[in-house]
Amino acid sequence: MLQTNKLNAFYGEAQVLRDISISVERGQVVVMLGPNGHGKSTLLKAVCGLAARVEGQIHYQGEEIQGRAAEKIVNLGITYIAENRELFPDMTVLENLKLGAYSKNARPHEKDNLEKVFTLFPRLKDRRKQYASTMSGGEARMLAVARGLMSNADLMCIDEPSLGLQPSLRFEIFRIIKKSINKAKPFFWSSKTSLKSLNWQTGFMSWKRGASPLKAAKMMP
Amino acid sequence: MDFSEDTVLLFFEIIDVIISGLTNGSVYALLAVGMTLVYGVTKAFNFAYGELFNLGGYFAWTLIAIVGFGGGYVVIFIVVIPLMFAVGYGLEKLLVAPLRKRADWENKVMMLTLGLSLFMVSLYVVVFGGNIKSLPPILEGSFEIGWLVFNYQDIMIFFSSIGGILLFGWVLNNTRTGMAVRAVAQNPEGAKIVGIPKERIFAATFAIATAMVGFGGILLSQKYFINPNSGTAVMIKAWVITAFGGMGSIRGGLYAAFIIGMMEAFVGWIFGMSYGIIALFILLLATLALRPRGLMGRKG
Repeated sequence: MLQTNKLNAFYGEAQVLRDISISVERGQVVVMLGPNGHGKSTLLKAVCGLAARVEGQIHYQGEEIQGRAAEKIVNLGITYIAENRELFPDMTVLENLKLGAYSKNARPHEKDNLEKVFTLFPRLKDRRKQYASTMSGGEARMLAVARGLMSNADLMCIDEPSLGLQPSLRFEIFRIIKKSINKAKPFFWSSKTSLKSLNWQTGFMSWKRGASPLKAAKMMP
Repeated sequence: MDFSEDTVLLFFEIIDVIISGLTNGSVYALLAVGMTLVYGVTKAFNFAYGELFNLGGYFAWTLIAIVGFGGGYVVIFIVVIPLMFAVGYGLEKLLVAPLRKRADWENKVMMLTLGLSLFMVSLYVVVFGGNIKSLPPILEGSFEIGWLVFNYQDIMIFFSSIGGILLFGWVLNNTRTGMAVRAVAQNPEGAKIVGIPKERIFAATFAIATAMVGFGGILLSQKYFINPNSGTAVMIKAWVITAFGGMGSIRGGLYAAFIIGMMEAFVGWIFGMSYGIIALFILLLATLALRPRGLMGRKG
C-alpha cells in the first residue's frame, strides 16, 4: 500500500533520513521504535508531504506521491497526526473536528465520522463547545487523534500518540485507536516505548540513527 | 426634578459625542477587520489598502457619473463588491502569489504593495484627474429627537458598517472557506495537516479583505470626498487601529476601532478636532510601550 524507496530527507544541511526503504501493507499496524532525534517523525512527515526537503520515491497504492502538496496527499487518504497536536487554539472542539474533515475525500462522510468519533471519545462530545486552547494535555491529544480520524483516511500516520500522557490515558488512546482500526485500516506510527503488551497484529521496526536498514517488518501474531 | 437649561444641553452634547464616536467606530471597524485578517492569515502587510478603498469609491463614481447608473446604491453594491472581490483575488494571484515562493516574502510583499499603492495613486490622477469626486448621498434628510439631529446618511453608514462586519463574521464562522481562513491564521501547520490548500486560502483572504474595504470606500465616499491621495489617510488610520488592537486579532481590531472612535469624538469635543490625531498616536505609542503586541495580539 505504501512503499518508500531510498528516501532521503534534510533539515537545512543536516541529513535526517538516509536511503530509507520501507513498506506498509493493508491491515498492518507498523510501529517505528527508537529514541529522539533519529528521524521517525521526519519519515512520517515526508510521507504526508510535510517535510522540508525530501528526495527519493514514495509510492502509495501504485502512485508516486513524493513532492506533492500536503493537501493533495490528504485527499488521497493519508493523514498525519502530529506529535505536538497542531490544533486550532481559538476554535471549539467541534470546529477542530469539522476541519479534520476538510479534505474532499472526507467531506461526504463528515456526519458519520463525527458520530463515530463521539462514540469513541465521549469526553470530546461533552466538551464540544470548549475552546481547544483550554483543554488539558490528555484531552488535546484525544482531540488531535479524533481530528485525524475525521479525515476518513485509509492510512493513518501517528506521531508519538502517547507522548506526555499518564499511563491510564495512554492506554485509553491505544484502546481507542485499536477500536477504530476497522476496514483493515493500516496505521503507521512512531513511538519511544514498546507496545508489545497490546498484542496487536503489529509490525515493529527498530530504528537506528541516520541510515536505518528498515526491512519490511515481521508480523506479530 | 428640575434641571437647568445648561445641564440639559450638556446631556444632549454628551449623547451627541457618544453617537458620533459609535458611528466613527463602526466605520473604523469595517476598515480594520479586513486589514487585520490579511495580516493574521498571511503575516504580510498590504500597503495598497487605502488605494483599494479609493478604488471602491471610484468604481461607484464611474457607475453613477459616467455609466449613468441611477439605479440606486443597492445595484451599485451588487456590482462593485463582487468586482472588488475579483480585483483582490486577481492581485493576489498575479502579484503576491509569485513572490510567496521566495525567501523572506512577507517583506517583499510589503514593498510590492507599497509600489502598487504609488502606482494606483498615479493611475487615479491619470484616469480620474486630480480633482475631488463626490458621490450623491445614499439617503437624504434628517430627524430630530429633542435637541439631537440625526442624519439618515449617518445612520445608514452606521448600520451598513455593522451589517458588513456581521456578514464578515458570519462568513468566517459558518462557511467552510471562512473556517479554513481562521485555521490558517491560528495554526498554519495544523491547517496543512488537515489538508487546507494554503495558496487558495491566501487568495480568498485577500479577496474578502478587498471586498470589505471597497464596501467601506463606497460608504464613506458618499459622505466625504475621494481624490487620488485620500486613500493614504484611510490606510494610516486602519493601520493604527490594527496595531492598537493587535495585528491579526479580529476581536482586538473591533475593540480598538470603537475605543479609538470614542476617544476621537471626546477629544474633539473637549480640545477641538485637530487634537484627535495627536491623541490617536499618543494612545498607540502608550499601548505599544506597555503591550508591544497591541490589545489582543498573539505572540509569534
